Amino acid sequence: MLSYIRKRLLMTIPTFFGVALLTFLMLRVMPGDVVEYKLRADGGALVSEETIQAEKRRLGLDKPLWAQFGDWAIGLATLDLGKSMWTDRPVVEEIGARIQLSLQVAVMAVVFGVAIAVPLGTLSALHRGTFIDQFIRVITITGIAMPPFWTGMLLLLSLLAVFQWLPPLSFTPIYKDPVANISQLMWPAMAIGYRLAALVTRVIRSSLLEVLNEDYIRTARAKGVYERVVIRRHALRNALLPAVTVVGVEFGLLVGGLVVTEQVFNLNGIGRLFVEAVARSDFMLIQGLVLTTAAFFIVVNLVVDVLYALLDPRIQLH
Amino acid sequence: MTYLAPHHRHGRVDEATAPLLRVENLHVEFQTSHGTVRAVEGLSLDVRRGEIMAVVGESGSGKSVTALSIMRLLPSRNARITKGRILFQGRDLLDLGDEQMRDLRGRDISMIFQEPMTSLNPVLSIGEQIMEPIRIHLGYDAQRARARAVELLGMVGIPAPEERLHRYPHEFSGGMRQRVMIAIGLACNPSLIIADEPTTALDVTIQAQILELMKDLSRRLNIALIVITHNLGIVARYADNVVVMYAAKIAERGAAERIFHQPRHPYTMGLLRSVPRLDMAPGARLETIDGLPPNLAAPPAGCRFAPRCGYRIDACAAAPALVPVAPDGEAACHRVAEIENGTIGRAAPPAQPAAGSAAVPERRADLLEVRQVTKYFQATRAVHNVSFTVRAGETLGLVGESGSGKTTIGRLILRLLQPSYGSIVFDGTDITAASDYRMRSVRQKMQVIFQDPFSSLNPRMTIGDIVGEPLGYYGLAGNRAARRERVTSLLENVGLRPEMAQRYPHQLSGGQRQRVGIARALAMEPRFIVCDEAVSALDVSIQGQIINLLEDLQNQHGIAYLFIAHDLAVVRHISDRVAVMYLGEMVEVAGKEAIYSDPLHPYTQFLLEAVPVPDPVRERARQPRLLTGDLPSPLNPPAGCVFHPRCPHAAEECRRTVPRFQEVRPDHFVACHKVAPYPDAVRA
Amino acid sequence: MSSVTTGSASAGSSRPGWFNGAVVYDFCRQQPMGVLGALIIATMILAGLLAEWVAPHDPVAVDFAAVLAPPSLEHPAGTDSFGRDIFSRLIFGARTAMIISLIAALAGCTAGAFLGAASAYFGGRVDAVIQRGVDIFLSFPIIVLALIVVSVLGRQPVLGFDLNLIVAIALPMIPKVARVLRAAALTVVVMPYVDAARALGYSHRRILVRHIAPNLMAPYLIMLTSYIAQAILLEASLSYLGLGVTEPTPAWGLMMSGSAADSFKEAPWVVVFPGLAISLAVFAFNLYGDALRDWLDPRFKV
Repeated sequence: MLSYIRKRLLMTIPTFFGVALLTFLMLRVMPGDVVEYKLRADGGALVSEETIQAEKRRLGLDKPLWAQFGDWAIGLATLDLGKSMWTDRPVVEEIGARIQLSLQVAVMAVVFGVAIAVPLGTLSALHRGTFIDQFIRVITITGIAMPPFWTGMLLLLSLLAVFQWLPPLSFTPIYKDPVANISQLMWPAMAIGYRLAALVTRVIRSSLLEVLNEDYIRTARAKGVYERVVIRRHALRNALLPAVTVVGVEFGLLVGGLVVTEQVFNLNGIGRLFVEAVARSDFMLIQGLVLTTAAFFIVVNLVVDVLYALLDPRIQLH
Repeated sequence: MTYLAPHHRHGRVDEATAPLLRVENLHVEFQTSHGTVRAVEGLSLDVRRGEIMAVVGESGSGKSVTALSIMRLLPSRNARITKGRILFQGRDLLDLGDEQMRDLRGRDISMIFQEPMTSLNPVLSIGEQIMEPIRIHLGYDAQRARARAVELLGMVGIPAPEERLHRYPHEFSGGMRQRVMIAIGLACNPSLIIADEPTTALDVTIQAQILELMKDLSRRLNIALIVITHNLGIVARYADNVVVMYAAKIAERGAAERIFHQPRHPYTMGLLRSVPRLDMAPGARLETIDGLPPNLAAPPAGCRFAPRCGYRIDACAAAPALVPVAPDGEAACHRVAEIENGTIGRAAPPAQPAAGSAAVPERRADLLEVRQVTKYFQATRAVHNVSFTVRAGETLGLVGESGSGKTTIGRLILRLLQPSYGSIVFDGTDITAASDYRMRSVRQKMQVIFQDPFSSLNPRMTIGDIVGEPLGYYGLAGNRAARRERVTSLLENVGLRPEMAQRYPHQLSGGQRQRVGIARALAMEPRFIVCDEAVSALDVSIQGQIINLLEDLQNQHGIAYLFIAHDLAVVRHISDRVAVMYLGEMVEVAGKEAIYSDPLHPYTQFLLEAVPVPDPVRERARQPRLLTGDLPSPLNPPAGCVFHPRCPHAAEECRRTVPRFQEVRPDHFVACHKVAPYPDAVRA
Repeated sequence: MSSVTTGSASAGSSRPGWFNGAVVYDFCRQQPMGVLGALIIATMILAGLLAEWVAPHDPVAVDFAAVLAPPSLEHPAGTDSFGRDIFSRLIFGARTAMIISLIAALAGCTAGAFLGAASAYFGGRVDAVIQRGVDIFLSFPIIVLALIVVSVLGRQPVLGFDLNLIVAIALPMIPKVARVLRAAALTVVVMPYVDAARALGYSHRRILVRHIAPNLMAPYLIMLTSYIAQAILLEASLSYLGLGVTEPTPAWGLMMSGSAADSFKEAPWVVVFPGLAISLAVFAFNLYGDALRDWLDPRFKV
């Protein structure tokens, strides 16, 4: 087991390095220059070329590209992502202040989504072609068809219409006031969770349909196993395996993928920070954010692979 | 559940007389996108306690559907039993509620399926899967169920059962998995086991092990066995009674001996004659049943076999009933009386000696030479140090079980793979080193026919395009009109009508597709064709047609074949010489007669003995020696002679040194320490 | 259960000839939901094409006399905070959505399919390099990748549409499609008919074009429909964030952003109708894609 994890961990190193390099390269071809943008925005068009050069020197932007990457990479190794070019605060601090919220929304969304998807997917497959299946299909396709900001707006509109109430705008950590925290974050979690549930329901449906066609299901029936045991023990156990991967991937992408939802619900999370950073061409911050998101994805994927290996005896752990 | 299993209630008196299972007038229908398919029509059969009954038929004859009907495991979405009764121990299974039926399954009737690789649940341990029916039906606690599972695994010959309980299916070989399936079937002491093609997916030596085990257990435990198969050799060896099905109906039934020696239905007669057999001198041509089985969505009126029957008369326009035949059984034919008194269909025409097969065929020039070829796939040694030749115009049969490397050899010769070591010389060109440009001309002389007629043709191209493509690519046929003409003649050459050129592969039957594959190979006018299991996927009656076609083409065009197959009887029929592989190594190469009448390598001897022949009298008189154990892993092949762990003659030297592959008799090569170079056979 | 197949050989995934009457009829009979999806798509495309004739008002005409007017006969979907007719903007928005998403999905899926098929066919080092690249790109959420592209490339209008926006939408699809198509191609490249083509000595190009690509049509078409839907969503999201289509071009996502997002509590029609339009379009493509998948997948055939 340990050797499997070690092997899997080693495989992520080149991916991570590639991600870092790609992030860096993509952002350095950015046309907008943070220095000019910042200084000109502050002091109008009257800033002298010298001031700009001095500021560039201060930020290390006058060095050649490889040296800039070197600086950044060395920083990375010590978990120092540099400083935001806009606020001058360390990137790690900027991200740290926001990530808790995004992470919590992502976790809640996954829990909500999976809790809905497993029964819906199973029901849909077992009643394939019937009214139940068609109904669930409409629900799930709708879920995939709704852009997250639209789901969010609809949620807010219905809250307003039914309860004349809107969730609080300011974030309270869950350990301070769980009620306030959850009453704020459950709505974005539901908005994203619905979409996730739709995706996972479809995965479960098709994989369960496939499994139900397998010879070993017929074997189980020929043994006289109770039908509900056939479904639960023989079919679902196999059919849920692909869903594990899908949920893992979606969760891994979620933390960074909350961009739009946070906008709708006015949440001060990673996504919001990202939009701000892009709007200001603060590429130190963008770099840090993109890297954090990708790293999170890579780590989640690693965990999912290990989990999968534990659930499926066919995966060789050595 | 207050209901007791019926065999506890029934008195002994009617047990002796009443059949255990009686199927009466069974009709099964499937709703498909092509309309209603009547998969079984009016089937009746009786199975007595302890009896072994074989149901024989080709694909689509309704034999598996019958089995699933008895188990009531037909797909509920589109299958329906429309008529009939299935009486098991006096009760009609079709009247039982779902729950009662479930309780019966696995307790009184068990089933063993064809595919051991997919019939076990991959995420549950073997122990869990064996204990499941024991706990459900017998109510054993975990500890007792475990003990019973260990006992069962021991009974089906799995070593170290205690430890194996915790293993998962993927850790077992195909043969071992089928043993586990049998253990599951036996778990609750059923009175009937239905085995649907239980050994079709297994190698011939493993097949023999499994069948002997099933027969032995059913006799010892007095379990009735219904074996569904297309293999007549298996029927002859194991069955007491036989039901022959054709196109959803029973063609003939009776005692096995009578069916094999005095078949009364033209279909049975044709079936028996179209199979190449190991126990008879091969004739010049196989007798075949012409045509194709009918489409069951629109079956012909009258006798279903009539369109393919050589004895068809006007009366056959009406469906024949099953009539009793002497000395036992029934047959559904209008001309039974004539067949019985010998007016028609008395015997197959006497086997003629093969045309031009003189006593000792002269040694022709080598066309292909494989020289000490070795192929590794990562750490797996698929082929090790193999050498042989194929001579111009001859057929070299290449036999071996799965993992023997025979398919890899074929792919190496076609340069679909590159060997790790060694060279392959075709017609003077070393193809392992030839440039792409050089290969172009080699490819024109060397072609291939694949096993699976369903996947060897591009589904998005018409037959005409498939056959004509090489002509265009190599500019072999000038303009388009000339190409079309050539395609037509190629299609006619392989027995297809020219209109077929407009069709797509999925509109053709398996046999027709295989003909298209042959036509495509012929388009280049090759001198050599690799036939990779070219007839293995076909039904018996179609297989004979294709074998005859291949032989005719060889006689017309002087093409050499490398005929890769696992069916020893087919290889014997078609080959001039035969090569035997085991675990990546060549163990024996010799002329056909030498290898079948006087095999020298112990493995070849076991292989030939494992094949049952379609003759109950001979089969019952014979006690074959069975090869024990499983194939070793090619990841870690045994040192010395690769066969030594399973060889009864193995000595110290076999464990240490690899035997040399040498000519021990004229044109007879063997790799065995125990075979003396001249004149004596096995020393031990 | 080999015996269940009918006498006529009909199994297999083969459905040659994509556009003949019998095939269309078969699809309609078996997949009514898919037909519904196709009808909605056709209506939207048609409305987008004929927007000038279908729309009752000029989509950019500002009318400060009718700011945030609720739905009425004059303005079936109401007006926005500039008094523009929302219904007309929806119709013109269909043109924007369809053009951008069709081009982006076609480009992204085709590039991805090509990469995936080449990866599977050549194997070895080519495969390893492509797969590493795909791994790296898949570590970024789609929206993040699109945002980076948008901010890096800036805007580049061609014929009234932002070419870089299309690139931003197409690029994130490529690795995803490549991965799926590679898996599909892996099952095709081991087919005996591909071996037969190699044994016949055909060139790589011929084998890829004539023997592999046509057999990847089914997964490609399925991916394409679902990615058109994805593209509509992504375009809407980017426009909503203010980083996609810009004013005054009518676009559904854009119609829900900025001042609309501020006023939606008082004038819900400002966001409800564009939201419905997006959902309906994506819904239709998914419905159609789903039906296509079921219809093409031989495993779900009787």
